[in-house]
Amino acid sequence: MSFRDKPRDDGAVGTPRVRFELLRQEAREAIHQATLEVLGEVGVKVVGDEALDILDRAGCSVDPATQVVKFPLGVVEEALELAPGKILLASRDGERDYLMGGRVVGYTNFGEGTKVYDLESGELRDSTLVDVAATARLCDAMEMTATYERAVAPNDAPEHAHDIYALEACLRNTTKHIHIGANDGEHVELMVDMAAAVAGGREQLRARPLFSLNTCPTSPLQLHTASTESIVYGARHGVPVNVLSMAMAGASSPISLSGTLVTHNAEVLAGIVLSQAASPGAPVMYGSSTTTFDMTYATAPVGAPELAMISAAVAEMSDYYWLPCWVAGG
Amino acid sequence: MRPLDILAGEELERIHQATLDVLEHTGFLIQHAATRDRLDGIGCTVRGDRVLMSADLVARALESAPSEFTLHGRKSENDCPLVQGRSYALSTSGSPFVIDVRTGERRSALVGDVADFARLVDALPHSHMVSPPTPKDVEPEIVSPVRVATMLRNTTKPMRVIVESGVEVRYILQVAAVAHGGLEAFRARPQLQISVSPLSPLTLSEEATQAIVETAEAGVPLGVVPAPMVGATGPMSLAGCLVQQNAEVLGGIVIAQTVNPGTPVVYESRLTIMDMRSGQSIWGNPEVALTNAAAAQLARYYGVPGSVTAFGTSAKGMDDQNGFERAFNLLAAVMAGASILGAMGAGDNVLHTSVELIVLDDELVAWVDKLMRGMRVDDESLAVTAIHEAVMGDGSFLALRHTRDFLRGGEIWTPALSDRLNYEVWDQEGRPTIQQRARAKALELLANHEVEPLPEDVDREIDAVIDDARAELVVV
Repeated sequence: MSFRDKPRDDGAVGTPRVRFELLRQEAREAIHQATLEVLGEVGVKVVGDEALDILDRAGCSVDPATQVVKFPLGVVEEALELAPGKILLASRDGERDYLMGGRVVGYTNFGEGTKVYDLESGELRDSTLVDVAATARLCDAMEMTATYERAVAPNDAPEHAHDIYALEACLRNTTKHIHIGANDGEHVELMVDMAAAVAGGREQLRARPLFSLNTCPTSPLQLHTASTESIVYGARHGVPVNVLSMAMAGASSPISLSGTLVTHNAEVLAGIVLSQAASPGAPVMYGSSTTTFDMTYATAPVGAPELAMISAAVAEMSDYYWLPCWVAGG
Repeated sequence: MRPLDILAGEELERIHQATLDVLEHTGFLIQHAATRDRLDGIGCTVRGDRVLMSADLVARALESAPSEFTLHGRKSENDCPLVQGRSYALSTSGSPFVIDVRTGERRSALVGDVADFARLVDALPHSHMVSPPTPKDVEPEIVSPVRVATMLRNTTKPMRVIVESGVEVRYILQVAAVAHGGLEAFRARPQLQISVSPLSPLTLSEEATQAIVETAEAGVPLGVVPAPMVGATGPMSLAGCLVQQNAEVLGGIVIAQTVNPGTPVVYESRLTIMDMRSGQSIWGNPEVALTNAAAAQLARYYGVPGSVTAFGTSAKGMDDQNGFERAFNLLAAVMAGASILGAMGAGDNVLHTSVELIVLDDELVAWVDKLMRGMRVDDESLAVTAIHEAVMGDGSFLALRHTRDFLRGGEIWTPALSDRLNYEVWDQEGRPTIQQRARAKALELLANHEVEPLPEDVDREIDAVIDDARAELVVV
């Protein structure tokens, strides 16, 4: 048994009839093999004693001095097999649940911006808690928006607790599923408490997670405290976690796009291994905001064709692993 | 990349069978006695002006139509070989209006605009073929010969023109022959595709039939370009309208192949949707993207080059709607494997065209081309060694030799027009828009791009042909 044998239902209701493929099957295999090579021989730097301990017990080789973790093939493949192909992103009222995974496509808004164009003045300004609430309410009304990602940072909230304040504003202003980042494990606990109060208890929240967590590995090949704790604590509470890399090809990942897919894949798979080692079968997403790097302007253009290519390839790699996938438009 | 099949195999087959059914039982109204007689002689059933075509005849016509041929440039570096896997961008055909680049206002198209579009396409790297607007400052009877003459003088790239009558074709061929040193030389390296529109549903006027016959007799590449409107001149169902359009294209191909077997033909789809409120035909909607993709697939199925309206939009200004409609339409057309991507520069349901939009479309084509070339996947590009090197070093890939080599090798696309500035610089520079940049580039190219002029004697001879055409055709 491996992830290749996971049960699939290609013909689920809402599956698009037309399919496009950027990578051939051999290319997916080649990227997977190169990723295993990187995970096994270069490794990933993992910050956090608890995460290192979990990975050690799962069979990874951990160097406590450098915090570099090397992942044997068997551990990676087992995690890929355990991670569910479909996960429930529950709505508060049960009316607008989104069952994520397979080949059904859902759409969501961008997050997290730190500035907004003010609707009245048209000027760019720092976003506030009111903007979080307003965008939540707007997306609640938008038909094609399957879930709401907290769109902007509440810059007027206490700096160390943006995530907590933002979650409250989201819960009060949309009944759709909420996607949000957490500062660390302690904040995950607070956010779980808050959502559990809405859901009617921790077990109710586990059965119907009203929110999911987003966390970004640091490219190349690092998982810092916020990531490892979001992944571990989220997994324990049954809160879905999106492991979403944001590499820039040529700067924080190889310039060749398939090489970027390798480090990207290694970062996400390291997160997925951690999640499944912390709690087997925990809901986890394969995420991407990876794009290219503009050498002339030193910007990360998300409107570039390379982003489209990487997002398409990432969706295909997720399909290969049969994992729910979250990619950037932009 | 493998083309996208918007229709499943059996759906394609059913559209084909339904088309044969229409051609065999409803038939084509052909208002040209000589063509009816000719078709009668090879096994068609003629009932009044209506010609019923058998499946066998259609199959033979498709067999004799070449699956690949080349539309030539004046210089061979601008040749467009119409082969599977290649797509060429073509500027808009027949718009009555242009957006004046200097005033930003809409006005009637003029012969000078035909020259401008031809020169601009000549200058832009991802624009491959020229089609002209319909200028108002020339007599309508000779508008097509004048447009061809103007394009020949202002571009070295291949061109396409839509004609309405056989007599126009005769003068166009004379103009082309003069420019290319004789009809034989032109036929050997045709720089022009001549397109003829059947009238939907299933009608060919006397003039249009003559145009098909004259073009086929000369052996010049022919486009058959019906433009049925869903719900008005074609069925309300998309598949039904595709069936009708398919019958109209195949009927035209049958005539051309009967006149001159082996005539190069292009399968052209201009199917649109009627807006039920205004009665206008709409070019920017997902149904057009869908039917374009299906038509491109049908053309592939028949083994003839397919051409669609790839840049359709209903937007008037250069706004977000304009950008997303044309980009989605283009993407669908390219993915479906259309050989020719029509309507570069078009706005307002192809009623106007603009040089700014041509410049923008050149960028869109480059963007989509980058996507369609796909991703290199081999040991070098998978970069395991480079990853090791960067991680063991300072964690950055910027200074690696691998980065330099792949950058030089074109791994990452460099836009010619798109904004990549950071916010502060963009703000300091006065918040430039893509329209401003496109306009500046269009003006710069129009001021500085030179197309090698035709020899003076050729130029004079072309004028003489146009004078003859005017004397014969223009009713004073």
